[in-house]
Amino acid sequence: MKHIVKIMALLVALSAFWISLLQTSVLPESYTWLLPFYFIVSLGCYGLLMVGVGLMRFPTCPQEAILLQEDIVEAKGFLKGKGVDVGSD
Amino acid sequence: MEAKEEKNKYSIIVPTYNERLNIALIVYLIFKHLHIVANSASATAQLASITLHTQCTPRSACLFRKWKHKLLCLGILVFPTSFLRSTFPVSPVVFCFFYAKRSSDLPFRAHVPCVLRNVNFEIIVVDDGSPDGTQEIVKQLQKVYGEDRILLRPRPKKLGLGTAYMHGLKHANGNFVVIMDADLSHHPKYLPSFIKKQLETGASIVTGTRYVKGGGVHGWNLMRKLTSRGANVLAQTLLWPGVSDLTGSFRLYKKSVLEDVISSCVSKGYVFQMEMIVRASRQGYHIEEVPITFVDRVYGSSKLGGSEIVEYLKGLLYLLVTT
Repeated sequence: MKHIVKIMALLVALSAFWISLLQTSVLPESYTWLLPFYFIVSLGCYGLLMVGVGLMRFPTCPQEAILLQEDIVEAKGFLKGKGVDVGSD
Repeated sequence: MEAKEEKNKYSIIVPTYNERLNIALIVYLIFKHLHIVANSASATAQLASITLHTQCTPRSACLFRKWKHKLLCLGILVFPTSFLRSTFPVSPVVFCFFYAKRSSDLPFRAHVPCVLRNVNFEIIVVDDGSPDGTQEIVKQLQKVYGEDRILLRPRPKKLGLGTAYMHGLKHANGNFVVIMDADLSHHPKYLPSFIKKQLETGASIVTGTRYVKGGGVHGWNLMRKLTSRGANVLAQTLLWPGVSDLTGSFRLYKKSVLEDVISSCVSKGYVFQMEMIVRASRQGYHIEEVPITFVDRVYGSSKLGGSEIVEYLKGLLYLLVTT
């Protein structure tokens, strides 16, 4: 099943649920009419929250840069000894 | 923890363009971390010099993996688990029943050196006609390490990443293919953990992820991290891919899987990497992840302009509609 079909199916299911809420008047009509907007806004807020949380918890590895420089020095030393040209580009 | 692996050959494809110095460093590091000959006097010295950095997590009992895939195909609770798993710090209790934790998410275990002996591998350098003499350096490396270990398969000019992989694939003799970048952002020290993960789980694709604990990025400023994180959340919401790092290009594939996936991809650049992993995920291949560290650009700075963002959004929409 294609992905877009899955998403469409999900949206159709949500709309059917919303329309059924409208018809059966479980909630007052004025609230029910605004439900899609609430849903989209809350989804957007959740997305922004996740971006913020992810940014704060972004994994960094400053020690890796140092290890890499050490590896570069070791590699250059070895290769120079074997006759490979390791002049910088 | 050591493991003997039997009769698997790993072809490491490295596309290069003007990487005169880096290709030599990469080849040295690959040999340092993969070429450990059993029972030799130099083996102990080699082992001592390899820093204990990677963790080998034990095989994760993915109880619901088969059922999760079936449920995913039916579209049941895909959105919450994929969205929440990748973005929420702690997954809600209600979805725990269907939540199959990836082994890369497990809390940090004691350092266990990932050491593999007698790994049979070859390095395929696909050079796109570099003007700075990369091919001469590769020929010098062939004299040091042997022409059966380093294959130089150049092309006349820059023809794109996807075609570089296809070109390298034609010359690959192994049953596994590793792709990595030649600019030292991908460190060869993670190669044993890729191989180990594949042997433990029997996965078709093992991809390196920079966004989980144990991995990481160095050299990115705040704007870059923000765009990366925003792009990741957007891609997870729209595509539900099942992997945490879509644009990463440090991956291990089974050769047959790579041939199958690459033939159906049409994008260019890093959207190509995204398309490969999303198509592989849709076709139901077993994908595992390994944390890797990414040190961006030893020299210079990678730019992320407006055109790249537009490119990315177009790629996302294309993948949304066609996969």
